[in-house]
Order: sequence, then structure tokens, then C-alpha cells
Amino acid sequence: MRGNKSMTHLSIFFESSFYFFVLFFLFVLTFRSLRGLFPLPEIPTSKSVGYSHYFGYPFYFDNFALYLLIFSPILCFFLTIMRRKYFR
Amino acid sequence: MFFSDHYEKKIFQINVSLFLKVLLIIFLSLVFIATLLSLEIKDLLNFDSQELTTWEYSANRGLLPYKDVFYPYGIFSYYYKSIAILKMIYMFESIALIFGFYLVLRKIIKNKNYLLSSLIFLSAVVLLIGNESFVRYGIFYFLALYFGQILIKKNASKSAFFISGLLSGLTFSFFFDLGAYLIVVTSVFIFVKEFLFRKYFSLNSFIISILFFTGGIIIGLIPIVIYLSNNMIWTDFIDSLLKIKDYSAYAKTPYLHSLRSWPALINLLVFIAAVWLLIYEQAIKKTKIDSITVGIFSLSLVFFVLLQKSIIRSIDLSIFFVSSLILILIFYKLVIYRNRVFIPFLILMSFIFLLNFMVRTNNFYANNRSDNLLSSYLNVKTKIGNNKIYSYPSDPIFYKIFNQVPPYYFATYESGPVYAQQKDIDYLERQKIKYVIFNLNNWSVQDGVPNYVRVSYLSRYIFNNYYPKYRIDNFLILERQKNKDFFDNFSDIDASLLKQNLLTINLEKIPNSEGFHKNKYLLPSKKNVSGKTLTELNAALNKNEFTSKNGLVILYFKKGIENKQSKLTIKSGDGLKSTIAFNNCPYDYPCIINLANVPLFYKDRIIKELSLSNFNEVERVDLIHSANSIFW
Repeated sequence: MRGNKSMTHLSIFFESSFYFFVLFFLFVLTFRSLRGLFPLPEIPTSKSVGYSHYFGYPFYFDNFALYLLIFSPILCFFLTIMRRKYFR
Repeated sequence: MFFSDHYEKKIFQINVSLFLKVLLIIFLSLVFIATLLSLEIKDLLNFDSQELTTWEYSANRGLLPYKDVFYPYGIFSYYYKSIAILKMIYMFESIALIFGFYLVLRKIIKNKNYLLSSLIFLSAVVLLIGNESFVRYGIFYFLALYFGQILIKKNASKSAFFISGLLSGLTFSFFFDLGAYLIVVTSVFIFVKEFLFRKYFSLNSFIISILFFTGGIIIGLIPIVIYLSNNMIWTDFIDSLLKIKDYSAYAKTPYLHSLRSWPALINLLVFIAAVWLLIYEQAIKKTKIDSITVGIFSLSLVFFVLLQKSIIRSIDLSIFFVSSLILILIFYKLVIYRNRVFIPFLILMSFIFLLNFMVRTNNFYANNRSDNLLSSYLNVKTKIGNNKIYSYPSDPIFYKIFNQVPPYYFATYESGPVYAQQKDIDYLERQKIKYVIFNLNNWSVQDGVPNYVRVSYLSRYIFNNYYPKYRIDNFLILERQKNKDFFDNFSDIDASLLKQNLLTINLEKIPNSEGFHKNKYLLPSKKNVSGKTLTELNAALNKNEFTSKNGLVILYFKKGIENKQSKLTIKSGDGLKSTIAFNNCPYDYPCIINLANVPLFYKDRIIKELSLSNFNEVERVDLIHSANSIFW
């Protein structure tokens, strides 16, 4: 029984890992297009100009990309559970 | 065989343990020596070192942080080189922190040899990342790990909440950013604890624990309250805290690009592995929460908090210590290979890091051995004598050399916001600064952004009020003189390089961003001169005199030329020309160039003629006057 249970755990782990890598490669492939979806940074009223404003690097793109990457394990685990529940 | 198998095994274990202990002592000694060396290094001329030297000089002069000089850190780092007791604390801080990690880790890691190898590895990481980086965030790493262990458990005592609050408050007093991070992290621990052990949840006990934690914080804040009250700098301190948010605007660099460096990549992979492991254990396997899991969770939270800072400006090498700690705990979780694989791996990595440290130290001393490094700086002092100076864009070591009170913002990097530039202009006026020392080797203080873009307001003031007088090595000395034109050939000094750089500028994406966000502020009725062809435009300029004061150039591009760059050349009434390169704009909105930020038009001039490298790609060009200060 215990063996079966740990096999199930491992299969959930591997399936989630598979989704993670798919998501990761999708991200790499669409990197430039994703970046282009974000607006150019606006020079604020304090008139502070840095790298982002000068070279037009979207200000919150890094936040979006990193949170997606960091929390993707949760998303992948959720996908695995949903897949197991509805598409057995 | 003299001994039985059992004794032979035991002797082997003792020898391994002894070997690891000796190794640990060697590595700790090296950490201590590195600390002493870092204290001895003086007057280096790179950007960071000059800033640190000038802060040390300001502290020695009795200038107050937040009030007299811009200082984005806590009071400990401002005074640690000036006050003997703080210097002593700094000397032993790294060793004390590693000992602190030993005390916490020994409760988590039960295998003695693994614990010793972990400490050796951590000492090697300190050598790798540098003592200053470790000390900068080390207290936060250590306290967060410790608080996690004492708070995230069923029966956490009230004194644990009080101690966490007290230490967080004290950390805020001396290292305010780390204190703020600790308060955030500890608050999360308190809520996580209640969530994990919700079976035992009681509202009364929860409120009491919050009260103990808050009480601890309040007592811990006493040192900073005394310091601020004694020096009467409350408003300055609060004001500088509020202005820290502006830092993100001018300091932001791409984070994802930094993933090409190995520490950044390892940090991220370790963090993702930690999140993965925590989910697998708690959501899939549903294993009991142990001290290792709590340790991994606490450090992951630390990583997540510091990542917010790293997204703005990468601090990957500093964060590498946290990922090393997480890695140690993850390895320890994988029980099977602990002794056979991970201990030799940690020791091997320690030696690799040590090698890196030795090569870097050797290179550092080889490159900085010359006594002539400061010579051009000292030549400037000899030439100028005791007159007051201002350094543009950022050689603040001059204030130390001239024994002069520095401006509030030492370098044009921090004086990016317009209020900060105004403060430096006030300094130039109030102190009646006679000479501005312009470093001809420094066209961009940081991140490839030209200084005329980063501090256009300050640059305008300098080039309208100071004119070339002397040239000493790479320094052009500008003298205060009235009613002269910087671009006239009035001086014998060769300032052609400077003038050339000011007349051929690159605004990259700024006109694009201005058009995208501020197009709505353009008022069509205020249009002065317009043209669909170059001839039409220049004829209109000949007919109607157009002055650069409050002038904007608006360029509407045709479809499908977004990824190109244009070069706009503007000829002034007095025959001078300035070429402005910038990225084209899409059809949907125009490019906006504010003439006030083009160095040739720092002084108001008449616009005589315009030409564009690719006028056939432009639908229309307008020149308008707009008094709206919204435009950059």
C-alpha cells in the first residue's frame, strides 16, 4: 500500500515537472513578444531617468516573469490535480 | 589488523571530524583576515568606493546622515569606520554570524560531520561574495532563520514573540532596511504558524503574541528614537525614507539579463527547487513539519523579500549566501547521499570558492598597487588651491581632498530626481562654488544612461554658468563666469571633446515614451510651426521666428518603421548645430523631444533649420511651445 502511495506521489511530481518545463519553454519562446506587451516606462513627475526609461525596458516585466517562474510549481501542481480529477 | 572493524570505523569517523574541524578553523581565520583587509583598503577610485570613502569622511567631519548628506542605509554602516566600538563589532561580525548560524543549524542538522562541512562551505561562500556583502545582509539571514525556528511551532512561547520583536526593532535602529524586512518576514511567520497549527488556534493567544511582538519592536526602536531626537533629524529621516521609492525609478536595470551570471542562475534554481520541495512535501506527501522544512521555508521567504530588491538592481552575489544555506538544507533532506556525496561536494566547492577568493585578492592588489592612482586628483588640488569645487558627474573623493563639506547628493547618480538636482544647484549657489571639476572619462555615471539625460536640469545650470578654464589630465576645470555662451570659442582650453559630446546626443527611447504617455497633454491650438516636407517646414521656420524656450519637436512617423533610429539635426540662429538620435515611434502616437533637454538649447536660441536623416518616413513635424512641465 505504502509503495503504491509513494508511486502516486512521484507520478504527481513528474507530471507537475513536465508542465513546468513546458511552461518554461513557452516562456523562453515568447519572451520578446511578452516583453512587447508591456508599456514603455513613463518618466515620473520627479523626472528621474534611469536605464528603463532611456532604453525603454518595461518596468514591471521582470516582476511578472519572475513571479510566473517562481510560482509556476503551484500552478503546475494545480494543473496536475485538475487533470487527474477530470481527465483520468 | 590491530583493531576490530568497529574501532576502525570509529577512528575513521574521528579523523574525518578532526579534519573538518581543522579545515573550519582555517576557513574562519581566512574570513577574519579578509575582514581586516577590507578595513585597510582606502581611497579606491571606482564609483562605489568613492561614495563609501566620502561617507566615511562625512561621518568623521561630524556631518549627520539624512540631514547633511544623502544616506540610504542605517546608522551602523554610516559610523562603523569612525567609532572605535562599532569598528570592533564590524571586525568580529562575520565570525559572530557564522557562530550564530552554527547555533541555529545544530538544532536542525543532527549529523555532526555534515554540520561541520556546511559551516566550512558557508565560510567559503563569505570569502566568495566578500565580507561587506555578507555583513550587509547577514544579520537578516541569521535572524530570519532563527525566528523561523522559534516561532513556527505548536507551542511557541510568548518570550519568543517578544525576542523576535525586540531584535527586529534593534535591527531597524541600526540597519533600517534589514529591520523593515525582518518585521515583514516575522509577521508572515506569525500568520503561517497560526495557519499551520490552526487546530490549536485561539484568538486570545494570537492577540497576545501580536502584542508581545509589537512591544518588542517598540523597545527595539529606542536607540534610533534617541539618535534622531538628540540630533533633531526626525523630519530628515522620514523624508529620506519616503524618497527611497524614487531610487527604484533611476536605479532599475533588467533583472532577467542578470540570469546569465552563474550566481543569479543558481539562486533562482535553488529557490524554485525549494518552492517545489515545500509543495511536494506539504501538499502532495503531507509530511509532518520539521525544523528542516521550517528552515527552508524561512530562507525562501528571505530570498523572496530580497528578490524584490534584486528585481530593481541585481544583488545576486549577496543573495548567493541564502541560496547556499537553502541548498545545504535541501541536501540534508535527501538523507541517503548525505555522507557519501554531499560532504565531499561541499568541501570541494569550498576549495573552489577559496581559489576564486585568492585569485581575486591577488588581482586586486596587483591592480591597485600603484601609488599614482590619486595623482591626477592631487594635481587638480595643486592647480585650484583652496577654492571651492563641485565634482561633476561623480568623483566625490575631491571633497575629501579639498577638505570641503560635500553637497547633500555626492554624485549625479543619486541626484537623478529633479528635487535632488535642485538641491545640488542650491549648493553651487549657496557655497559660491568657483570651480566645477568635469571628468572627461565619465559620460555616463551608471547603466549607459548619458549624464545629460540623467541630470539634465543640473547639467543645464552648470553649462550655463561655468566655462572651461583649465585641463588637468582627464579633468576639465570649469570656472564660474557670467553671461557667456558655453559653445562659443572663447577659451584657450581644448574643450572640443566635451562640446562635441554635447552637440551629438542620443535620446534612445525617451521621445517614444514621452509620446506614448504624454501625447494627451499636447494642445493642438498651440501649434506654431508645422511641415509635411522638409522644405515646407524650413520655409515656415524662416517665416515665423521660433525660439527654443518651452519648445517641443513633435514627429509623426508613417506605418512600419518602428524599429529604426532617426537623426534629427537642428540648426540654431547663431549657426550652431545639434544632432539628436532617437528611436522611431509607431504610427499610433508621435515622438516628443523637449528642446530644454538638448544641451545646445540649455540657453534659449532661435531655431533656424531642421533636417532629418529619414524625412521620407515622417508624416509631419510640428514645433510647438508648451509651458506644461509634465514633459521631460
